[in-house]
Amino acid sequence: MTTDSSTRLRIANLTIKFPGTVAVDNASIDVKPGEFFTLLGPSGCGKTTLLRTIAGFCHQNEGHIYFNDRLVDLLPAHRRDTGMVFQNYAVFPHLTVWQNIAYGLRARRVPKQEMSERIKEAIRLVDLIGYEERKPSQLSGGQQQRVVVARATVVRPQILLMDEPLANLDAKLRVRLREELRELQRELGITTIYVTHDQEEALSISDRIAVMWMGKVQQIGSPMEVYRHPVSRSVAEFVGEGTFFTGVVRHKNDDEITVELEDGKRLVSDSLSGLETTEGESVGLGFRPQDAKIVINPAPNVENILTGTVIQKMYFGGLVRYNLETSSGLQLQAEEYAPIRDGSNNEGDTISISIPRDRLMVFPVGEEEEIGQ
Amino acid sequence: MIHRRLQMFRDRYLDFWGIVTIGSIVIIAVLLIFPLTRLILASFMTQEGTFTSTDNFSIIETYIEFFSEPYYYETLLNSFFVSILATIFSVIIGVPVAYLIHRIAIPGKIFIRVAIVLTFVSPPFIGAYAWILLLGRNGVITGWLQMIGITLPSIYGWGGIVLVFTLQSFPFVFLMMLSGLRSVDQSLEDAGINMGRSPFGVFWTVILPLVIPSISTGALLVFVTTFSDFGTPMIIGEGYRVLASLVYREFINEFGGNPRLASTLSILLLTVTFGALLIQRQFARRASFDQETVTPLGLRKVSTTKMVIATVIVYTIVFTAFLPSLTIVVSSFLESRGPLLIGEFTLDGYLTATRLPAAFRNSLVLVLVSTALCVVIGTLMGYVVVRRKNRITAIIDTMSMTPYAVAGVVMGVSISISFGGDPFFLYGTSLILILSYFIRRLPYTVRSVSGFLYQMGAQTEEASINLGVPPGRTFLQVTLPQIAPAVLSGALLTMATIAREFSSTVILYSGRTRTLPVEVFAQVLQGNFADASVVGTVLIAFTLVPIVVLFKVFGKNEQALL
Repeated sequence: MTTDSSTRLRIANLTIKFPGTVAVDNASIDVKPGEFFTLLGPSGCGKTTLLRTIAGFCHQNEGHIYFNDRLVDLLPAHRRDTGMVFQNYAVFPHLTVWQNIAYGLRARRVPKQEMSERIKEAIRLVDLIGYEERKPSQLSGGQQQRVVVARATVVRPQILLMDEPLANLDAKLRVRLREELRELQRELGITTIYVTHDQEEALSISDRIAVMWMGKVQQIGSPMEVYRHPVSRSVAEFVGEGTFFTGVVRHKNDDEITVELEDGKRLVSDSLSGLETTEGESVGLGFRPQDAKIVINPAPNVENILTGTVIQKMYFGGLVRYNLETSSGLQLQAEEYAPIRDGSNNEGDTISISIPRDRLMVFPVGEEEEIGQ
Repeated sequence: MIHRRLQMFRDRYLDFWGIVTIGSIVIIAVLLIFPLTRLILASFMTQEGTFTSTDNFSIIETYIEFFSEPYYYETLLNSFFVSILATIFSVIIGVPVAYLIHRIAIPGKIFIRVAIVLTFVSPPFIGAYAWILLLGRNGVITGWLQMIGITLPSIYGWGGIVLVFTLQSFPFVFLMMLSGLRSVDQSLEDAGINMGRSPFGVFWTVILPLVIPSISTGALLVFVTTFSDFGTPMIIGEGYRVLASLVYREFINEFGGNPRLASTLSILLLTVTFGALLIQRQFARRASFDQETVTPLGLRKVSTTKMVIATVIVYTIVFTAFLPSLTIVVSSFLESRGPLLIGEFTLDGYLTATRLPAAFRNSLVLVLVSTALCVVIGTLMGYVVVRRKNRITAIIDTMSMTPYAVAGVVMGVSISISFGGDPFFLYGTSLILILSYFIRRLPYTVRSVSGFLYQMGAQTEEASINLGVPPGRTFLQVTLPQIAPAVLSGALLTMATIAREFSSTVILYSGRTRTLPVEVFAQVLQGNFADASVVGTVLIAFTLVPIVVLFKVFGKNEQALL
């Protein structure tokens, strides 16, 4: 739900330096009113610094931050009107659940009657009815995080900021809470900036994602865009698994590109998304393991077929993962879903995979830096 | 442009904490840097207050005098001798006792804890005078042994000093060893035994190397405190002169004293203790390991024989250390006849100790006022050290080393020459004592508050600011309630340490500002053991009250005393 009251967040050419490092390097992001926007990246990429700068806890060296059309650069943290959810909860240990949630309302001098109603509503939204008088020490991690979410949203902030809010929870609770968070955000319509290093989390709850690395925003796009059409190998590797290699462009037009591998094999892709390259240049290639289809006795003229020996086979129940090696030494990963031919492809067997041309990712080389997961 | 405006804004934003930072640096400059500078200068100045260096008079005249006159330099050697011996014996006693208590289910550990706490809270020289009551020429034990024909070697001299120093100070090593053992993981011992080493072998090859840094910290504390102590050597040394007692004698001299020489001696003392501190830090840094402790070393099952042996060893040592406090308390209830105490119970001592009420009142007022100052200012300083990091707060942070490095006697001399006379004329006032207690104990509060704040993290404060509450009110509403237990327990500890503070007091007190420890000392020097026991018992009770509250209300254990 996007309401008229939602805030647009505009970050323009923001640079944040710490002694010896540039934490955020010339970042520009435009978040639409009511959008669920995620900053995704490995630890140390600058995403938390960027979030804290929006909240007013850090200060940029260059660039500007606007809430709607209002410049907030000089606004102190306590007047920025953002709601922040911290990784370590930061629930006030000396206050009850009710007092925690009331804290921001008191600072805003909300009338008693209204305050009470809003707290009740917030407690209902985060499913904590009956816990009002408890102290944080009597709550589980998940419950504490709900208190913090209620505390941050009850003041109806212009922007909701969440710094890895689920990182300290166990895996199952994490999945459930992120669904709840998404639902709550839709219901309230608050523009939300969400920081995480968990790509699955980012893909599943965001309207849009900014992938950050080494202080730079690498790519901004919908979850599907960054997953299917990453602009670089580092983005591709960070948002999902895959097999990556290089080749030389042999043929290119507006719709498709033909790339020759080291062993002379040619692959075709139409997943270009604005890639600029010319014939004779090197490009990076990659595909996701689930996009590789295992084919039996492929016809000789079928395109994008790679053949290799099964080095390792791992059974995961719902799927089987094969690690293959081609005759030219290329390591490939392929997955077979709902495997029906269990036992037919074993370690040492030779199998072929086909990669649909719209699933073969192509990106410029020179972005080969290893990205830490 | 924008950057400058941002800077200007931040300056305004930091208002309250900016003032705190500036105030802190002023306090440190006036009460710590200025007196120590004065002390250094005084050691180079003539009586007339000038720096002269002629053919006959060198600017370092007193230093030359010190190192050329055996009468002077012997005290330095003596100090090293007794302090090093006391340090070695403290390690020899403290390490095994801590290990046995930590690993073996010795019965009655509560008694051991009480005894060690009592040893810790009694003023440093009380042990000396109690041992004289027991083993001195007219001592109780001496008398018993003489009846069966045994003559002990004399308790007076360096032997007695080392004995008292060791029994008084081994708890430092003991407590540091205990805290070291708590950070060794049980799995390390299990792994050692699994690979075929005996438990004793594992102790030597795995556990001991891991706790060496902790032991060295304990050893440093023993060395520094004994090196700076002059009460004990003056009472039991009988002519065995150490550096600290020479400082005292040269400064508080019936014939006017020699501030220049006293300053020189103070500088030398300061150099030794500060040097020891630096060496130990360097050593501990190189010898320490990052440890992750999931399950600390637990109790070990041992045979009954071993258990009995361990129990006897531990109880013998702890009882011996506890004996002085016990002696003081018991003898305070005994009838006195001249210097001798005879075995009849009486409360007369408490009624006839004429100077007790005044000393008690003085102690109470001084302790409460200085503690309050330490707590309020120390908390604010601890906060800026952690949350407003900059070059100035880094200086405040460094200051947290001073109580270890600057001995009480040195602090007393430097405060006295700085504020005692022209233009402050604070000599003999309560204020000068308060200033000295305050600056000496302030770093403890700073350190305990800053340590707690580091652990707490800034997130709840940021959450509060994020919810619209400005920094000053956030400190009151969110920070203070959370650090209150740490602040209060720090306050209790400060009370206990100030109550037993002796060496700087004895430099700075006057007839009107005698405190309990000074009163005990005066009575002992006059040979009035009856009154000394009475006042000493009151003093022990006085220091014990905050400690008991600390343990009972805040659930602390003896580790907190370090």
